[in-house]
Amino acid sequence: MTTERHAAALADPRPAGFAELSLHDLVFGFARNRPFLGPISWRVGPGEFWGVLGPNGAGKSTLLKLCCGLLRPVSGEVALNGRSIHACPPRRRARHITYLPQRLPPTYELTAFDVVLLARYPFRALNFFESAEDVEAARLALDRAGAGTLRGRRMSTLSGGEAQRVHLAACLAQDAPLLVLDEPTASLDVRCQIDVLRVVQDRVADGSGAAVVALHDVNLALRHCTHALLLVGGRIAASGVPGDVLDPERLRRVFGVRFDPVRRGDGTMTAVVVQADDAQTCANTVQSD
Amino acid sequence: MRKHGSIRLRLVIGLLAIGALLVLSPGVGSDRAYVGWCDAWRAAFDVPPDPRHLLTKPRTDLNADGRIDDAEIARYVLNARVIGFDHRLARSLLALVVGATLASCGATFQVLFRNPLATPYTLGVASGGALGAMLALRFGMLERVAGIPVMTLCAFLGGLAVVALVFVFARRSRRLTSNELLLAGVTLGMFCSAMMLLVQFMSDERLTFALVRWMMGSLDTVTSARTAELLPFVAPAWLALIASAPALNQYRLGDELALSRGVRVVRLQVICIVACTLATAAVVAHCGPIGFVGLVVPQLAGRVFRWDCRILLPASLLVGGGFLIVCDFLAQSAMGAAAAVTGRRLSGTILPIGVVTALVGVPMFLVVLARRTGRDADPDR
Repeated sequence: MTTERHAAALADPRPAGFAELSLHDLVFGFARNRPFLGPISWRVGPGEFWGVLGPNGAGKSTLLKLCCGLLRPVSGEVALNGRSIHACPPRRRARHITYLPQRLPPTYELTAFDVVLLARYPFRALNFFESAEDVEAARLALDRAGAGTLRGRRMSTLSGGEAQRVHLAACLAQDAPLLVLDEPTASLDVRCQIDVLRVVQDRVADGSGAAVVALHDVNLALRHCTHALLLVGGRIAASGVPGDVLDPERLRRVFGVRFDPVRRGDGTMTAVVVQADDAQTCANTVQSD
Repeated sequence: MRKHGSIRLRLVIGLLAIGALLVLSPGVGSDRAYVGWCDAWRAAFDVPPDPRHLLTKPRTDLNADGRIDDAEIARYVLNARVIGFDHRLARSLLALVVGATLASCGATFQVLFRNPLATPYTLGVASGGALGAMLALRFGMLERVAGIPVMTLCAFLGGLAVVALVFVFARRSRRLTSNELLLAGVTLGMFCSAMMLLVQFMSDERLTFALVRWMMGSLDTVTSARTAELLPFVAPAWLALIASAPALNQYRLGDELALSRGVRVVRLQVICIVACTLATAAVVAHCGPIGFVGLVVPQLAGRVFRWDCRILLPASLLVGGGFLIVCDFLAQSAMGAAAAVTGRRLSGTILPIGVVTALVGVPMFLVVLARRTGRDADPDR
């Protein structure tokens, strides 16, 4: 039976198409009767690069896991291309969605190339070892993530930024149109943050896929994302164009920090800066807690 | 993972080594039958034994007249065939199957629980099996049902019962996390050990002696039929484990990532645990708990064959089988060698295999641990 299903999955036309990911009245709770997240309704369309922002504990990671079908909602539905994601066999789902967890996986004494090659698993239903095609896809993904030179290096010898690039390359090698990345820029320097998001941007740019990325840096979202989602206390506070969603007044309400906008000539906001005196207030608040 | 060439070479070398051990095995034994491996194979293929060779065997010249007649040769050939194959080769085959099973189950458990201390016995298979066997012995159930000794059946059922209980407890917590399974297994194992002590305390000396001997593990066998009895339990488990290897590779990256890449994590855990439990229970029921193979061999195999489960599991099968054959050779010949050196006849001609695996395995294991350099050391292995 399983083999049949695998065969069917293999017979599937290879480039998994992406039309939309939609969440309908999604509710999730770790304990019954106490919803932790939702109700949330949300739609991700092709070519969109969503930045998911919000305070710690707002439910960003949970939302991302729900999007990938890793968690089961209490009620509501996650639909991929119009079909429930939980009805989809996991291996088929893996050809549609690739996920990068917040905590990077343990990689033992693997080389960068091995890590990327492992991501080809969803395509190897019947053959035990990697095909030449898998090897080529992994090589290509490493190059696209700007990690081509790291190919033979052991993961334990890589810096945080290099390791993150390799894991991003693994996501690309999985060749799924929808990328769901949980804080891929955490603990990276400014340059690496921009590089990582550029890779995602390039991937999404042709309109065949989409990306949902949890971020903490408002300015990165303003710079790279086409859409932003602001999550507060498990509910959507705002969603849409980053410049509107990440409005300084709203950010003040959500984070309790006052921001000054930096605007271009035409009035669009390109960045926000934490107000000098407000940073001071925050420090005091934290101390008095 | 990329050096498939060198890994293939190593696997071929491993297979050849196992083949060589099996070829030699009709010549190794504790019994003083003086059957050499060459003679045994000659007998098997109806090639007459070399007369010059025969003269050096003390027992062939039965009439002690210095000449060997045809009847004596026929007797020798029969002897060589029966002892070489029905006893010694069958024993080595059993060692191969048992060692391969314990080692591959050990490797799987170490991956599954992400804990290098996990062994095929971790979930209480051995303790439950031992308790079952002990109860059967205690209440004198020594008859056979359908050709299988009741004691073996009880050991099998005991092992399975304990693992089933562990499952029930672990499922209560809704998620099948490794630590809960380990804790439940170790705790129930302790309970079984205490029960065994109690049964021992309440039985007479003769029974206690038999039980203690059983606990040391043994590969004593009369025919290859016993090995064949084991295969229906063990071979499907091997296949299931090797087929799960690509999914286990993903599993090593963490539950979430594995799930997102299309691995049904809980199903993988259940398949592996059930397969390992059935195989281990069958082995324990046949041979008693043979310790240490499941702990040491995956580490040794992991040093040689690295990280990839698709390589590690078959490698563990090979290394485990070879390791147990060699240990069994030592177990059979150690007392003979000691007797030859000291010139005294020593009691008990075959050492318990469980003792030998520990005596051989511990130094090997420590050497491997000590040779781990900083670059290779990783906390998860």
